[in-house]
Amino acid sequence: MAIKTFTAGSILTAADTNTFLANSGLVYLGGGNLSSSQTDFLGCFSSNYTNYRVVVSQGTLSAATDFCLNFLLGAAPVASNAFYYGYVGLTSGGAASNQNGAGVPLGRTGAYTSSGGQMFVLSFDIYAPNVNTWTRWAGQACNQADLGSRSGGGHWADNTQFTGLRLQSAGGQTITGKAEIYGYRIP
Amino acid sequence: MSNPLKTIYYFDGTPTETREMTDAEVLESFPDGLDPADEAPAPAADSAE
Repeated sequence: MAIKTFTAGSILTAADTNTFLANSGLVYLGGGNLSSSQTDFLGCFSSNYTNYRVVVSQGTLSAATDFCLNFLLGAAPVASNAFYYGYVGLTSGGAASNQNGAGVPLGRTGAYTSSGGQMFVLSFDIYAPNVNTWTRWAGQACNQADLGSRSGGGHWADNTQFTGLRLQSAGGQTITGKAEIYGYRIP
Repeated sequence: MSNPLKTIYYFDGTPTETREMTDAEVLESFPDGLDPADEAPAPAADSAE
């Protein structure tokens, strides 16, 4: 679609506004503060959007652990060892901090802490969680632990139309921070 | 000993909920078990004033 250029004195019509709205990119769907060991976002995935962006800011964990993800069908995850993931990590000192998992019940995000209170920031895209195909995600995390970062992603290797997202610590550690979920508007 | 807390955000307008996880939810959610160093301490016994 051609983007209309406005000049001084131009009139912004309802049609112009609707055109811009229809062609906007990310649409904020919802989110909230993270203050428990596990946070569920029920109903965040639907047929309205195919792909999604998740942003976690000011994230902390109360002890050394990983910040994990799971997908929900209704209010619960699907009990299956269908998560496969791989992250390439590098500390600020130049050491590798890679992470991988194959055929496991819980996904990773690349965010982690090596002691309580360390901060991380994280964003990742989730591809087709509400489509009857594999769900995949990819993103990057910047971690205060090791003052480095991890980039990568993973797969839910089964055809499932998920409706929700779960963010949690690996072992019950308390999370703080904020999560925002956006949908990529379908052109 | 208390179980960890969980928060639920509903995208259908239902009010946000925060509560203690059930034992079944703990088993389902933490396949490697809870980190003993991070489990909530038992509440102190009430003392007589």
